[in-house]
Amino acid sequence: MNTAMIYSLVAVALFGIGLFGALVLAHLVRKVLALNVMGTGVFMLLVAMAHPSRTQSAPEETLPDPVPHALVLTGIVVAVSATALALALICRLHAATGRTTFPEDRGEPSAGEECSRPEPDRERSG
Amino acid sequence: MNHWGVGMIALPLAFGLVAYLSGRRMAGLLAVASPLATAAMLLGLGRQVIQQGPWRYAVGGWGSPLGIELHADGLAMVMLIATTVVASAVALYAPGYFRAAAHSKSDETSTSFWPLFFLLWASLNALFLSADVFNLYVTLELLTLASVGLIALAGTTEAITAALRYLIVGLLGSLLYLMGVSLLYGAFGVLDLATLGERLAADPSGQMAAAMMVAGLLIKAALFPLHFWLPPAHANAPAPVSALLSALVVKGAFYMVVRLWLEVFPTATLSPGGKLLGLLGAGAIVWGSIQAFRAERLKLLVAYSTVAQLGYLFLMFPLASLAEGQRMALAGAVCIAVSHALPRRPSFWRPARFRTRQGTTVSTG
Repeated sequence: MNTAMIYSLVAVALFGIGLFGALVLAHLVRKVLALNVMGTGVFMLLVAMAHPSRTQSAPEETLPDPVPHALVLTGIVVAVSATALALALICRLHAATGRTTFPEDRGEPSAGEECSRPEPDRERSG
Repeated sequence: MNHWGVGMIALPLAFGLVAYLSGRRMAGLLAVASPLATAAMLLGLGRQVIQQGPWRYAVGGWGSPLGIELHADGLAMVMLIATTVVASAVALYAPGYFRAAAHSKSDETSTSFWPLFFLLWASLNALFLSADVFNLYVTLELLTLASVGLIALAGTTEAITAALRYLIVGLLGSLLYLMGVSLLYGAFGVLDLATLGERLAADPSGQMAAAMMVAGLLIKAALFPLHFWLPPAHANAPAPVSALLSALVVKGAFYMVVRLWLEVFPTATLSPGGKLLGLLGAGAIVWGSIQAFRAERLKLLVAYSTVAQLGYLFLMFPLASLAEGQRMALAGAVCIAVSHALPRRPSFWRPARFRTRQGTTVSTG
């Protein structure tokens, strides 16, 4: 089992752990962290794809493939921006309501049904 | 001149930068100038595609695989035309909307709207002009980030919750898609759509990649049963934003599924998946329509009807597996996509007008 294979298996395991966390965990910051773990899994797989041992010629002499490295850098930038936006929104939500979970995770009516009830009075007075 | 397509991406970005730097002062000027300028670029590109065939362009002079290539063919042109029409209409409508709503909402909604709107427009154009799977991912993420910002504009708790839900679910979908891209690159060594289509055989890595990519995109395209983020997002966003989301953003993800389906993956991999997508589409039509009947707010009703219409779009995929049906299935789906996009603007505007006069959008009927 060579290095690229070990990296790939770890990457897939990270992806699975992150996916499980994003779906199951209720706290929003934990969801964001789980999504970051998922992202790390994907990036690790890309790095494993770049490993020189995947080419057929002498692995010790060839350089890593640069294209997946560029993909990983782009992906990291996107992930950081999205994480920042998510955390900013969570802060806003917490400041407004004091809560850090989605209504459906608290057992309250799910999103669509909640909106189908009439809006509260503050709208009517506007 | 060969750069019309680049102009279609760069111009909205430039307008967005001007909007960000100048605040609300230039909103009216931008609202009129941007449709004209982008339409000019679109006409130039359209003329070039009609006269010289599909347009391919290496950004910065660097070709694939290390560089990014732009590609405009018939399908891309149709989506670009729909985007330009809808976005122009929203740009012309938005100043009036924000002026009318200014007495009940905070002023910041209008200031933040314009940069995000132009970013959304630019990323949509970039998505429809992309030629490789990774650039599709980047533009899809840009689209998601801009949409999330726009949904959260209203500032209410429901709007922020809806925006956050869309962001988290959207990130999940994007990461699934990116995993599929990694698998494709690892197995076949290329990212370009056309080259992948040539190299792909019906082997397990291709199947796995197809499954992950389509699953991720289905979340973004709000196909039943993954549509749960759509109704609250559309109902709680300002009217111009709802129009954009409903008409264009979900179509971006659908366009990506179409590209992957038709150009990249071989039919043998896709036929069982096509039947599943058709089944889910049928479910979307039924469920979306039932929920639309039950809805008590006008905007929520329109949002659920969007869910139903998206189900019609996905009926294309089982039909596309038949060899002779493919062209017609694609033509049909594109017709539905465009004809759904165009009336979406007014169907969100009527509730907005209704609301500002009466104070609420609860329907009494």
